Amino acid sequence: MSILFFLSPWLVSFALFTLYPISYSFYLSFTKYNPISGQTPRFIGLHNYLAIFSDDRFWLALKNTIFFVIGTIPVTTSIAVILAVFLNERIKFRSFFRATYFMPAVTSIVVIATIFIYIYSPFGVLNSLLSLFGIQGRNWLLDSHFALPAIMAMDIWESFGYYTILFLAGLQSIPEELYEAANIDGATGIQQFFRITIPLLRPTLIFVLVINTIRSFQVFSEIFVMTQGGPIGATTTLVYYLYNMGFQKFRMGYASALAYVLFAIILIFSLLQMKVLRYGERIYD
Amino acid sequence: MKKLLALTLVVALLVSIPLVGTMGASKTKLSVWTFWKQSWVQPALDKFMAAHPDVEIEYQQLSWSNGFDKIVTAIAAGKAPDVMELGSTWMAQFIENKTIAPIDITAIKDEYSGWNGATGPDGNVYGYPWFGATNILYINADLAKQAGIDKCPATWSELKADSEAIDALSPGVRGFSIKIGGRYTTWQKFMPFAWSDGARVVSADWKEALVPFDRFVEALEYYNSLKKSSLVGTQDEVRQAFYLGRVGIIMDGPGLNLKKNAPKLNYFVCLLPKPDRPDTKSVGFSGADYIVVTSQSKQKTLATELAQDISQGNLISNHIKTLLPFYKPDLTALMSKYPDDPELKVYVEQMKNATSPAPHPRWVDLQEILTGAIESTILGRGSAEDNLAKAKKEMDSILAEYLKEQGK
Repeated sequence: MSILFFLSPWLVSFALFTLYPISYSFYLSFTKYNPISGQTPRFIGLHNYLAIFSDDRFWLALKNTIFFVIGTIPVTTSIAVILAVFLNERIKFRSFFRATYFMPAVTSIVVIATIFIYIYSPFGVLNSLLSLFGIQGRNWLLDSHFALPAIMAMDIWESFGYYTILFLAGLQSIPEELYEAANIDGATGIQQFFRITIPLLRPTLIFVLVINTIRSFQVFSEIFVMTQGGPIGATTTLVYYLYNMGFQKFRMGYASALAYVLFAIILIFSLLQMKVLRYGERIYD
Repeated sequence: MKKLLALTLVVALLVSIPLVGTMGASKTKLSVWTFWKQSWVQPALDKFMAAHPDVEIEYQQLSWSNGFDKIVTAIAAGKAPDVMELGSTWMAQFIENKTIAPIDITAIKDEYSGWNGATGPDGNVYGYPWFGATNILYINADLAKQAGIDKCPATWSELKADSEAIDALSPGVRGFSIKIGGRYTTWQKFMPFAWSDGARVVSADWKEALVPFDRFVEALEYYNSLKKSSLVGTQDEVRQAFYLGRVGIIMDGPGLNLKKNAPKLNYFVCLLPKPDRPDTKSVGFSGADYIVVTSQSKQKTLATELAQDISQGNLISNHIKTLLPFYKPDLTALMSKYPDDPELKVYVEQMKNATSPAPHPRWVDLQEILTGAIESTILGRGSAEDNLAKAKKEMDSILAEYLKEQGK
């Protein structure tokens, strides 16, 4: 009873602010509901789910989102691992570098996005730098081929610091003796990295990949601030599309169904990642 | 003695608690949400509270970034304010869903302009027109002088010639500016060209999209032809370039705010140019804001009176004079206050012929498709004709779906 008492603040807030909205939106996904109409949701069965699969804009948003996920996660993770290894060494100003790389992670994404709008503008810093090398710049966020990659580049810069810290924590749990033994055996630095560091970082790697996948599938703020899904839908991601449907077009039932389709996609990706990454785990146990 | 004093205090406290509650409850509360500082709207609130001492007003300033979402969630939760401000692009959806209450304008009809955007398909009026904004041409006077331009471009061919002349001055300077991006910018900046050419987005009976027809295609082709001598960018980018003297001509409204953002810039203002044909006229986009009473309000009579008070008295125009009041005596007062202001004169003149899209409840979908067609053309993804033909197909299906829902 006392356990329940101590857990109750969390349980109450979880039930009110997480469980109830999740359950209610699941119910809404089977209804036609306009939040400003004053009418109650009307049950329409699977209609919203069936409509999603014949919706061209959904497929475009899904394509953009998968491009974003596939384009950012490997780069973010690779940079974070490499940086963590360097920052784990006894180098000068180590604490300063650690703090510097982590700083974007604690800065508001809206602030970062606003700064990058200026960096990417036709008269911005990026084009000025490129012009030094004789390369003609462009309006990055209004180019349908470059707008999404430009946002992805910003996302990578913004997020790798956070994952670096996670990898650093993982690295510090690897026993030093293993490296000493490898040195005695004559293993090179590269061999040590692939044979000791990476396998023993596997739990952290799985964690980072899974949470980064979930986060990347839910990309929204950057798009909302920088491009609002344009130009020509080139940066419309699933969550932005969902928001647009729910809060601009008032199709809350359809938006809820989109949320559950996204949930299913994230679940499948996460399970696949965990299965693939855990394959062979026992060898190292 | 001490015990008696303490007992008295406790009794007094216990008695006063319900009294305080009753005192607070005796006042009728009205809530007002707008996008402006409370101090700007306060004169109307004071006037209303002086006439109704039994009413207390709770004012909230909404933010431009998420004010609309706040309104939607409040309505969904049954916590809508009594009175709120709504932009013209939102009115049709709110009218269709009966989210806002009709008002009786019989006695005041002639005192305002701008009723169209607040009139529903049922003929009822759903809000007081507060103020409106339109776009005019701002021309960098120094660049114009260098390019040998000494007057406003009155026609499309003159605008193009002026844009090319300024663009030829230096590689770092562009002539005109085409704004794209965002939910509203692309179509709002293009539509004056289409309207000036006599084109419309949908037919009067809302049964068909008219975008691929001659005048519309002609307008978009012309707009696209300006691209060669223009800076294509977002609203902020283009404005920034104009402030810095890197763009000669910009089509903009009160948000440009040159006094604050580029106080040293030499400029003059002009009406929007019209097509060269004599049967055309310069038509601008009119963005209007309305003060509405929500259907959820439990004090509709009082709320309507308060809404009317807010719509009068130049509350916004006293601070931003180019946001023109729809209440006619206010406009007269504003013009008398600034009799020699050339910018205000051009705004007032342009506003006479300004219009806005048909208040179709599915305008949000239609504007998205229209934006796609314009951006595709400007960004070189297909011809104006092909993009508008594709847009028509999508728009027609939305219009048909709407008619089906209405049982027509």
